[in-house]
Formats: sequence, structure tokens, C-alpha cells
Amino acid sequence: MECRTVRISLSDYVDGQPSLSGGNEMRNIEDHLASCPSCRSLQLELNEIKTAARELPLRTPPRALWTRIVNEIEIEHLVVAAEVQPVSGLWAGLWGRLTSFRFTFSLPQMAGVAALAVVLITVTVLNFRGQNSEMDFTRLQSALIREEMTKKAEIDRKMAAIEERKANWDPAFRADFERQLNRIEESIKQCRKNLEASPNDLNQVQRMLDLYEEKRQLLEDVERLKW
Amino acid sequence: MFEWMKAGSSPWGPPASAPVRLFFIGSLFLTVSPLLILLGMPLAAQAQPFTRSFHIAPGTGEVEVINQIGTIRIISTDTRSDRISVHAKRLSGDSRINSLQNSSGKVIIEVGGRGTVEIEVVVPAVARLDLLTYKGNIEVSNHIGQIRARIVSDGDIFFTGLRSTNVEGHSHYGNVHFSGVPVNQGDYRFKSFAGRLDVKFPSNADFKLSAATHQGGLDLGDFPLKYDHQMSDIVEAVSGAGRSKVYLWTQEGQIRLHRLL
Amino acid sequence: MTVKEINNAKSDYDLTQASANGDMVAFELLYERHHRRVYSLCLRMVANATEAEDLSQEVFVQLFRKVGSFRGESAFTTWLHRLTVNHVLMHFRKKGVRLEKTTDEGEISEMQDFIQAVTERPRFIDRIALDKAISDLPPGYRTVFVLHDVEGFEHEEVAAMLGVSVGTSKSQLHKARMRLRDLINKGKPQRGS
Repeated sequence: MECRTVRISLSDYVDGQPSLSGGNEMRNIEDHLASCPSCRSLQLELNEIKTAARELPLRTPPRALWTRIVNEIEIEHLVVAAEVQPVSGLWAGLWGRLTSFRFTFSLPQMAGVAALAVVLITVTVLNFRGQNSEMDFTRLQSALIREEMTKKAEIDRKMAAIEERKANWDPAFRADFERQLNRIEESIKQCRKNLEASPNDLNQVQRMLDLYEEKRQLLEDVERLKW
Repeated sequence: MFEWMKAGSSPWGPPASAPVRLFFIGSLFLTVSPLLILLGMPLAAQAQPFTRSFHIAPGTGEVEVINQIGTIRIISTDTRSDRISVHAKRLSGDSRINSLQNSSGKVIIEVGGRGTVEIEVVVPAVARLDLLTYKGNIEVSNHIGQIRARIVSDGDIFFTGLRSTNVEGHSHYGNVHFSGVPVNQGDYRFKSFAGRLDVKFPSNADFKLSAATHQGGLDLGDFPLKYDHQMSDIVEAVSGAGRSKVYLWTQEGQIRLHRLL
Repeated sequence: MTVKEINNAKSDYDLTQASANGDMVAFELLYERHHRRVYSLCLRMVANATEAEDLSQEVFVQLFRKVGSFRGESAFTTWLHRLTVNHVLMHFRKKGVRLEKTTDEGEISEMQDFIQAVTERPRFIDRIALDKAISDLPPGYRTVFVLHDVEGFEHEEVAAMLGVSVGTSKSQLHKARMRLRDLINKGKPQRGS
């Protein structure tokens, strides 16, 4: 069998397609692959692409997507509710909705409930937090800030060293490195934005430190690769 | 036309005798063949595997491997072995493979260049491992010594049947797979920026868990965990008496902790 | 949403029934479980993040409308999968995207790289490069490749969804894989640099 003929059927072969007309064609392909390194190499590449495709990572949409979905559902329900006539009177309608577990809250109603919940939670937390825990919180915050400064200083040093050498790197490696770095920096930026919205969120601070560590480690590993 | 062509003689004088001709041919052969061999060497070297062996004190061993593009595979042998063997295969592109043993017995294998190299190292199971590749998988199984495995870009790490007390596995885009038993006082740190962390422990495993994923999900299976602290993407929990520490971190990937069946 | 809720949560079928009764907590749990899969599929098929977000939003809104019609005869993931694929294909039709782009370029590039394959075959497919290369495929190749190789549909299913023959699905897949191979190899580091 000629290489050209085999290569046209290689995807079917890689997929274990029984439709390759009968046992003969499969056997002929296998015989050819056994004696043709270039076709065999191509078969292995196609197999690798197929395998890698199955293992592609899941991608994550922005968190705001859920909010958009809820808003759109809410708008649709408001429109539907406006078209539906109540059975008889306000209370009958409400009872009907309660018993059928069909709740339709308007956005202002949901915002009101949310605000009340926030107030209740804040009051509860403030009441239960003694002076000691407030001091612990401040101490923890200071420790985290110090750690952030230390990591940033080390990152700046390593970046400066890398910048000097980057121009001589292989362009594909350089592009890869910059893509990775940007991805980490985007995540750090997002963390910072979240922190601006909630400055006392220690989990966000920890996240940011984790991301700085990821960046620091990337730079250290690249140094070890000696590009 | 030249006269000598008509006369049948050479422009350089009368034809040489047979011994002289033989001498001339022999000299030509000796001059040209080394050149041919030297020119052929890069292709030959590419196809030839790289093999080195190092002697170590039994029951010890420290190995550092730095690859660029390609896999690193560790084969763990008898803890009393006195040898570390390196087998490397250049698969494509230009690359340089250097290996040496420093004064304290540590074996260092470094790949330079942009080619793809597959590295396999046979080590005693107690050896300390420091493995780094830019792109490619890292595989370590049935090992006891300390392990640090890092993939700078994409590639998966596979840890199976380990009895190490200190294991670190990190990939930026790829996944980290661990299946085994966390030993007492063990410290296990698995991180991936965008990949998945897939950990399988026996249901009676004894560990303290700290897990965080910021955009992925947490799937802790049906582990009998006692939660100290949990939010949607951060967990601190204990299984059993919590005698070892497990730290799992991913920014965008998923964390899965399941029972080893 | 706590981890415990995720761990102890009801089955997808129970959540669909609760969602059909207006239970937004149940619907949010369905979203948490499946949104990445839906978004990844949309993103890989349209190769545009903004479009993928819009499509994912539409899929989940549509899901909310239809969730009561899920009878549990198949796995919920399969049902949602098909819903997503159908929605993206409808989007292609509305946009007038031609999925049956056939080209002879694939044949030519096969010949050019054939000799290279002998000496420069990489052993490791970089998934990042593969993801990028998928987004660079023409829509027709990309759709078939994503549906078959990434999402796992059989050729008969792909052909039925796209309204083409099984033979066309197979040949498009082969061309997609060959084109991906070219794109991945072109992106590799150059010799000697």
C-alpha cells in the first residue's frame, strides 16, 4: 500500500474504525505502518492529538455570568407574571404561590432581603467579636502585608534579572513565558479588585500571596532552565 | 583541443605506477573518511541514546534533573542499590545532555537546547529527587525518598505507590495525579495554576487537609472528613488523626480527593 | 455554596425537578456543577470568549425554561451537552457560518510536512498549543474536531447534528487533525535558535 493511500485512512485507523472495508484494509495498513517509519510517526502524532484533545482542561467563565443568567431569568419571569391573572385576590394568589413553592422575587425585593441579611450578619459578627479577636485580626493583617512586601521584592529582583536575558530567548519560549506571566498577573489584578471591595477579606489576601508565590516560583524555575 | 588529450597522456605528466596510485587512493581515503564521520556524527548522535552510570554509597542518592521539552521518568529500585543510571533519548531538535556527579555524590543531569529529550533515571528508592522540566510529563512510582517535581509550563505529574514523607508536585497548566498512602508525619504539596489535582487516598488515610481552588471546584468525594473551615472554594479538614499534612492549591483547576478502591 | 452541600447534594435529576418548581438554589447548584463544561464547549466551538459567554448565558436560560422536560432517561450531562451543541449550531446558522468548508490546502500541507515528520516528530503534544491551534481552525474543521475528539460524539451523531454524511464527518475530522498538526509544529521552537 502506498503512503498516500494509507495516510488518507489514518484517522479512521487511529479511531479503530471497523468501516475500513473489511479485515484486509486494516491488515494492509498495519503492514505498511510496520515498515514505514514516517507513516508510523504520523499515526502516532494523530493519536497524540486525539488523546490530548480528550484531556483539554475545562475553561472557566467569569463569575458575572451567573448574575447575568439570574437577571435574564428574573426579567422573563416578571414578563410572564404580568401576563398571568391572579386566581382571586392578593392573598389567594400569595397562598397559591406559597403552597406550590413558586416564588418570583423582583430585584428590589431580593436586594432588600440581601441588605437585611448583611445587616443581621454584620451585627451578629460584631457582637461576637471580642477585643482580642480584633487585635488578632490586625496582627494577622500586618503579617500578611509584610509577607506580601517580601515576596514582591524578590519577584522584582528576579524579573530584573530575566529582563536582561529575555531578548536572547527562543521567541516561542519567550511568548509562552509572557503568556503565563500575564495569566498570573490578571489573577492578581482580580484579587486586588476584590480586596478593594472588601478590604478585610483575609482569604483574598491569602489568595494574592498564593499568586505571588506562583509568580515567584515561575521566575525561579525559568532561572534554573538557563535559557 | 589540447594536445595531451589527443596524445592520451595527462597534463600533469606521465601516468603514475600502480603502487603510487594505491598510495594516492589510500591517502585520499584516510583524509576524507574522518571528515565524513564527523559530518555524520550529529545525525548519529541524535539517534543514539545517552547512557551514564554513577556509583553512590548504598542507601543514599540525590538526583537533580533539568529537562527542557520531554518527559522525566524515575524508576525506583532496591534501597541498598549503589548505582544511579541515566538513560536519555533525543527525540527531535538540537539538545545537549550533560551529566555529572558533584563532590557530595549528587548526580545532576541537565538538558540544554530546544530539542525534545526523554529521560529515564534508575535510582535507589530512598534517593532525594529534584525534577524540573519546562514541558513534559514527570512520572515517579514506588519511591520512598523526598520528591520535588515541577513542570514550568504544561505537562502532567504522576505519583503512584509512593511511601515518601515529603512530596511536592507542581505544574502550571497540567494536572497532578497522586495515588497512594500519606505516611505519618508526611508533607504533601500539590499545586497547579490551571490544571486539575487528582488525589486518591485509602479511606482510612490519616491527614490534615488544606485545599483551595479559586475558580475551579472542590470534589472531596465521600471522604469521612471533619471540617474545621469551609467555604465554596477553601477547605480545612481532617481525616483520622491528621498525622500528615496535605496541601492542595489550584487557581483555575479542579481539586478531586477520592477514596482509593 | 458549601462543599458539604456539593458533597451531600441531590442527584442532577432531583435538582432539575426542584429547578422546574422555581428553586433557584437548586438551579444554582446545577450551574455550579456544569457551567465550566458548557462554557468550554461553547468557547472551543466559537473560538471567541465574548460569544462563548453570551451563548453559555443563553444555554442556561434555555435550560431553566426546559428543565422540567428532563425525564431522566439519559444522564443529565448528556442532555445538557446536546442542548449546548444544538444551541451553538443554531447560532452558526443564524450567523451564516458555513461549516462545510472544504479545502485542498490541507492536502498540500500534508506533502510539505511529510518529510519533516521523519526527523522532527515531537513526542509531547502541548495542550496549550493544541487549544490555540483549535481556535485557529476554520469553523467547519473546528466544529467536527471539537464534537468528535474533544466532546466524544461518534461520527454518526456528528453527521446527524451537522446534516452531513458520515463520510464527510470523517474526512473533515482527518483534515482537522492534519491541520492541527501543522499549526502545532509551526509554533514549535526553531532549530538552532
